[in-house]
Amino acid sequence: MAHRKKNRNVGIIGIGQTKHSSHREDVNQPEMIHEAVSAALTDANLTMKDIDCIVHGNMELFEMVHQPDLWHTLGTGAYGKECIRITTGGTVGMTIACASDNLVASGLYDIVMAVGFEKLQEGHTTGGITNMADPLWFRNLQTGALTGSKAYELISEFGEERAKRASMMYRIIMDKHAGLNQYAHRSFGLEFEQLDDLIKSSPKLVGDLKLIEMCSQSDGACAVIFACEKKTKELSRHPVWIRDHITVHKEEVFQIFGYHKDYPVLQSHRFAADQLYKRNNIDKPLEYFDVFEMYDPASWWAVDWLRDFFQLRGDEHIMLVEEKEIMIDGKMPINPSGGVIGSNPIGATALIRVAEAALQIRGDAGKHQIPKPVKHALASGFGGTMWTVLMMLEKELNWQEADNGGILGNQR
Amino acid sequence: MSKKAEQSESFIVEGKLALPYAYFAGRVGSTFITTIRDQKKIMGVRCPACGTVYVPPRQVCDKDFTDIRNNWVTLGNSGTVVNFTVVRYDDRHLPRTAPFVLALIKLDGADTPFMHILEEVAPENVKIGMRVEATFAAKTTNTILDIDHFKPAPEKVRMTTERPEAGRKAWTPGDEPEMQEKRRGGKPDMSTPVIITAALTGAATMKNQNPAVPYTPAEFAEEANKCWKAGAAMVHVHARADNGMATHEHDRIRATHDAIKEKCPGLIVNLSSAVGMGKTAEQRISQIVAVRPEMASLNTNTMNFSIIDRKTGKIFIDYVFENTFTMLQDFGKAMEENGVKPEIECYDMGGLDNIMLVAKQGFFTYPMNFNFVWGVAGGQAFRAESFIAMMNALPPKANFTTCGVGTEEFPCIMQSCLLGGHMRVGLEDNIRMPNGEFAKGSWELVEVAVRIAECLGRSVATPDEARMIMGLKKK
Amino acid sequence: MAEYWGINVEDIFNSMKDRFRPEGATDVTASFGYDIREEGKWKVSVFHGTLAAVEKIDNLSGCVATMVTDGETFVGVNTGTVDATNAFMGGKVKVEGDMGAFGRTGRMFRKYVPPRKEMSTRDYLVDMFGTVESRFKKDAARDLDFIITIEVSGDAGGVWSVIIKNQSCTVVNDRVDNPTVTLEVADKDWVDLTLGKTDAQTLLAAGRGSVRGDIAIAMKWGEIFEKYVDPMGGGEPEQELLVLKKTISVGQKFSTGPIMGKFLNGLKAKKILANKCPKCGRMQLPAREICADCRVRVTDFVEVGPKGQVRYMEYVYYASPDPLTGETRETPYGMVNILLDGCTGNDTFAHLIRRDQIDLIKNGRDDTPGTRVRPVWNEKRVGSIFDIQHFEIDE
Repeated sequence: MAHRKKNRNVGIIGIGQTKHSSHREDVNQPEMIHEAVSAALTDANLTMKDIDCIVHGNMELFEMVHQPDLWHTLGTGAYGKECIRITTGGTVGMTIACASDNLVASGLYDIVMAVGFEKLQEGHTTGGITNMADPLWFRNLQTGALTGSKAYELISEFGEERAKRASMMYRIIMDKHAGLNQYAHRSFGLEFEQLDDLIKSSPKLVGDLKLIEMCSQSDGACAVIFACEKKTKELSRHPVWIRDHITVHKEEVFQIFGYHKDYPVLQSHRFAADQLYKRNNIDKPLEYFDVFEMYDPASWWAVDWLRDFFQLRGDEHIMLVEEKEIMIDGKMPINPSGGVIGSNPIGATALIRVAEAALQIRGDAGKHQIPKPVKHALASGFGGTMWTVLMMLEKELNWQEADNGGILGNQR
Repeated sequence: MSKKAEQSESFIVEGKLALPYAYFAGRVGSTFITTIRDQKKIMGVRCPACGTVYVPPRQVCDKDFTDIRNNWVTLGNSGTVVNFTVVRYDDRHLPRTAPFVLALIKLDGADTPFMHILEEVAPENVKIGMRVEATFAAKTTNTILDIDHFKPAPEKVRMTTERPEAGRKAWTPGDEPEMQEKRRGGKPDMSTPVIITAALTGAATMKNQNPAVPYTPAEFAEEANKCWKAGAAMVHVHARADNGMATHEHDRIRATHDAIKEKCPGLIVNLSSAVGMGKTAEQRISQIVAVRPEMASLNTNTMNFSIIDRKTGKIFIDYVFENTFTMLQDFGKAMEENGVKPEIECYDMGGLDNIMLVAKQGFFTYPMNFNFVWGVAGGQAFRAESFIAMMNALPPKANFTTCGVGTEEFPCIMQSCLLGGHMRVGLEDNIRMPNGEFAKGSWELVEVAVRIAECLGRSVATPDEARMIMGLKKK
Repeated sequence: MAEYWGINVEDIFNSMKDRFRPEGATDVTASFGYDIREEGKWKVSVFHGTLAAVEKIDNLSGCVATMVTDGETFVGVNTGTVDATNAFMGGKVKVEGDMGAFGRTGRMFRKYVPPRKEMSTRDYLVDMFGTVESRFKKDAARDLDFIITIEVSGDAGGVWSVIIKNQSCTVVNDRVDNPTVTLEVADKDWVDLTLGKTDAQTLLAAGRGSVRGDIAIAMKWGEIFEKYVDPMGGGEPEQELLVLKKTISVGQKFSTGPIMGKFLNGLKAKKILANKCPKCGRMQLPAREICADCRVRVTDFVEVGPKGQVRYMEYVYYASPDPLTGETRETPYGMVNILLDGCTGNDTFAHLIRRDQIDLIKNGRDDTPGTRVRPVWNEKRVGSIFDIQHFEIDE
């Protein structure tokens, strides 16, 4: 894929988010956004005057509000400033992070704030998603973002018991992580002993996708402030650097896996990961990254996608889950924040992945801070019909050496 | 089988998008709506940093990003139309059937306009600057439509209740020491009720300047009644023909006088003996003798009485207002002989001196009542020290009131009230409120005078008290 | 019986008769079981919309559904202390039997509100002075050294002295020597004052109460003590938060374009027309203007099917309202991806399967074929996806 070097480096200097919840009757949309924006400004020790541009993102049709960026001005602080609205489905939170990075890297703005939000309690999520599809055809059949196909595929490949246990294991781990995150929406206090019981008792939604395995519907907002290298170094004591990001979209088709081994279906996650690692000279992503904040809309998908994102083979990804290596103190901590299953204000969700990954690098994640040092983090976004965005974050601004056989050369 | 698609294969499919959604008003929005619903009160929030008062309220000031959620201020339920549009099409999402008016209304006390439906007025009669007030919905929807609509504001609240002196004990003249002495000592007698005169028309103010100027006897009666209710004890009248021109016709003047007296029998009617430009001395005084009002104006000097551009000095109308000593003498005598108390109009110190010379003939009854007029192009402009000089030159036991042209109205009446004198306001002198908006009538200016009296702790005179003070005999 | 938040399980059941909402139980005739661990079992019977019986019983046979949980969760859910969804999702509450039927019980009963015990003025005074020491804000009392004596008159009254010294606070129910300031107030007034129902200025202005000594010290009360929390939960009422519910409904018009138009017109003529990519050969169902993989225009149509085999069926238990109609499909239903005859690989066609056949469908994979199905055409066809009513098993 065509890819050029950045004009200048970009760092994350401020992070703010709301508590994610299904009970935000106490605030309207701009008021909720204001909470996240204020938190990010406080975190960065900046005021609204310092922000050059706001990139606003959320889903279409979810709150039934037309041009939300206009009346959200009260919350985003965009009064009299440049403000760009982006909406790209579930990936939008990541897209606004990428756009902010691009806007700063290009030299157009020195400091850009990305603001993602959603108030899913105000809208009809499944209805909104369904309206994405072809009105003459698939809109009539679609069941929102719910599908049992991934469960079917995993069961076909690994057997019913192993697959179901892996999915539920992943689910319980996410619940445990969410319990450590003060901002997480759902944490039920699940225990590993409940695993078999939950497989039996949780109501099924579609196929073998069970209620408890699906992501939550949350109200919440997240704001992340991006700055150019010069400003980042001036303003931030613990900057997080954006190394690279990649976006891969796919045609509007709901067939997400193949029915015949001779007719493979291109997996956008795998494709995105392959491209990104190749151009950054990363051979063993599982060893390179210290944490991965993954957009995990359901535990079945999450388990499967580990294989794609980390370029794994066979059942390596299932084993990562089974051996609890994805836990906060494991080999590859996945979503120490509790992930999307824990909190899902959709327009903010993917931005929260970036925010949480950055917090891990800063060492500011609080109770859900990974015990080992975090230098390299990966964050993903997911949306549309299997669209992928991946972003790499770094603690040190030294990867340019890597291209010349520097620090990454060591692990080859 | 292989077939190609043709353009003609395309057709239209009817679709629909129907989705339920909710809107969380939040704490600020809920407080706003529930206060309207339960207390019929419209509230805004004031930004402590920039002072802007927002309505509808908001949690954050969009100008400086300050959190303002708890700085509630109660606004008036009335305001001014700052802009409007007439909706002339029907659609099911619209709150009314066309045509209806959506107006941007700046509520009293707010800095931001607020959109709502304006009803009970024909769209063609809606004007920017018109006063409107909220009508609350009988049934709540928990939305902004808990205010059902706005409508043109009738007379202010005071108009529908009682006059300002209602309920207080009537004033009676006591054995106070000579008032003049007090004044000279700089200690005005503030215990005397203040007489408020409403000068409804003058000779020159026309409806195109302020639509509240009365022309017909009925309009005079209506306007006089409003002024009486607002607190005026006296109206000063230049009768008008139907076309708005000042008239010396006895019948018209009498009809105007009588219509007022019929509507508010207690009110003192003070007729002009100037009538209007270009009237002869005979036209000016004969009508007074014919109608015999309780009071009439008596002008004290021959002077320029012109219309001049106040900014550029350009002369629009140059006119000499003739009041010779003979006229002073003849008019004064005619009035006193017919039981009409003169209100002596002084446009400068010279006028006052003139009247005092004629007064030596001894036909004026005491107390003499003076009106200091400020700001006529040809007379003196208002100056505080001039006012005091005028006051100090008054004969013993004299009363004084004052009026000023245009914006001089308010400082001069306030000074008069402050010095124990009386106040004249009205569309004859000034067509605007202190904030520059058009007065909705002389009565609204009377309300300003009432507020001044209230601020200074002076009670407002009833017509009977005014008669006692000015020495009138009720007719 | 154990108490949770001062309430036991029996309180909940005993109050059911009072909390019953007939309007939430129209047309219901059923018994619901409650199996509360270590507490017992209850059976609640509703007969034609009236609450027939609430019985503590060992045998829960005949219940359409039974809730299984522990006492704490049960009380918590009924009083709103525990989020019901979370308890259910987290496995703390289970429902055996007809889940849907059990869901109706939520509308049948009003929330349980524990009866309040009245507090007398004396109770309040004791509680108010009893909590003064715990409400003391040490940091706010730096360099302060004083004694406030409060003489409370009235039947419930008494004398209390609050001694502040060295950033510590002691309360005695008596007079002490040399108070810095003495307040005199009636019992009810002190209670109202502490509850925030009145303020000191109002009381003093009305001549109710007096201050002897250093009034400035008395004014510091609010700064050095946390606000008293009314154990009766009074004070500020919870703010009413408005939630406006609406449905957006707008008419739309879609132009099919020639490709989709031809495809839909084909359905009208009982023909399923795939369009075939001239480059990769894949069949697109429904037809598309281009092949997104090859980025070439796809104009050639090929009639396929109408029979085929199921490659994958979505077994849908949870249906959301159809955004086009607002109606919710009956569940469960099956959405099938069918490989129509004439198509290969992943060239599947999505549609619905006859509802009564969903449990008979077998998915195909690789070279193993799935269940054979055929379309059921509507009599009246308009050029829409639903010209095919659904597919059914082709026997």
